[in-house]
Amino acid sequence: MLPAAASLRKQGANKGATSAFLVSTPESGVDSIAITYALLDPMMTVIRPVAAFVTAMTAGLAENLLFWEKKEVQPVVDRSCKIDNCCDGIDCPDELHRRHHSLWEKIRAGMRYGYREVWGDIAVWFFAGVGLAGLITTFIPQELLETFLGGGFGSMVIMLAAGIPLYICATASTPIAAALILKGVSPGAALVFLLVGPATNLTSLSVLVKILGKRSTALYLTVIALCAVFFGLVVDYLYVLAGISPQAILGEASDLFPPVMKYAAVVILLLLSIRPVTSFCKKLFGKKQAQTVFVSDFPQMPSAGSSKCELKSEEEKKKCDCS
Amino acid sequence: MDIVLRLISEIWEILLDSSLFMLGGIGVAGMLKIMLDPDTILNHLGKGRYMSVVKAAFFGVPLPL
Repeated sequence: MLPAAASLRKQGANKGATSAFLVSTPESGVDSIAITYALLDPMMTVIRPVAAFVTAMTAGLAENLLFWEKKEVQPVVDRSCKIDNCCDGIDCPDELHRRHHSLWEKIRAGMRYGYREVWGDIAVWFFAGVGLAGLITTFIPQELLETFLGGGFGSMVIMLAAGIPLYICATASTPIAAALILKGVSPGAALVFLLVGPATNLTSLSVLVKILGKRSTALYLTVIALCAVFFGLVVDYLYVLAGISPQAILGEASDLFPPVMKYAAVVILLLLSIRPVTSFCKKLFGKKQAQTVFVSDFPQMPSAGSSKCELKSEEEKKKCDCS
Repeated sequence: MDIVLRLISEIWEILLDSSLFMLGGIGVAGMLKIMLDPDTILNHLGKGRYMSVVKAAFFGVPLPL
């Protein structure tokens, strides 16, 4: 996520747009929307992306309103082919390339990308989230959390304190939120966790200081926290207003499907997870070098990065600093 | 022993409830990433002080991490 935002910024997007993108992308995505519908309920499924959009817009607009710096940077856009790298985007105008691939080819490339790369990125986190959710449902006694996190401003603040330093992605946080709600945590407090957990963590904040500066990072954090608490309180109010018990309707979506399909889906998902999980274990138990590499500078763009540099001439190699 | 079994069955329940939706979600996510990667988005953002923010926020919502 952060590399993508860093490259957005480097390529000429203004600070406001960059921070807006940095809020809405981690806070919501089609994958987390799908799992929210599966494990939570329709109301949360709608509220989550809406809250992410509003928070992102508020953060970006506040940024550009308060600290606007006018710069004339011509954005450099990578037009290279995302499907099979058939052209590097330099001598390949859009009009020509548009007909290059059939719809079927595009769909296949997208599917492959989704099941390999996207799932590869989140598989381990997803299982960690599911495991933690299982632990919460099994070991935490009913009504223990209700006293602290049962709703109201105090619960939201506790959730903020827990969610801001935590590193967790939107998808992995969903089963945990479901387990928390099951244990009496108010849906609003759970939403605060769902919004703040993915949007901020200690590493990303320190990187943000580099991309956007201290002042803008402080603004970013403030807007995220305020919006999360606001939406948390609104959600609690909505549940009361609608007279819905949040625990009662959790995870009803999957009842729509016959059990056979559900079993098959688990098997497919586990099969898809073999590769990411084994490579994660290798990294964990192997040499511990990988962690220190990240600190230096960002690679250009994952898609435009290393593979294409080999094809370019010496001159262009210098420009494309992916050493 | 009992409690371990309960833990496993809880985890199994969550997997059963979520896998089908997860499979759909990451399929669509992959398609979106091919068609809407950050560079394509940048192309649409433009230089506006406010419109660029609205567009960036909007594109970020469906995009996965």
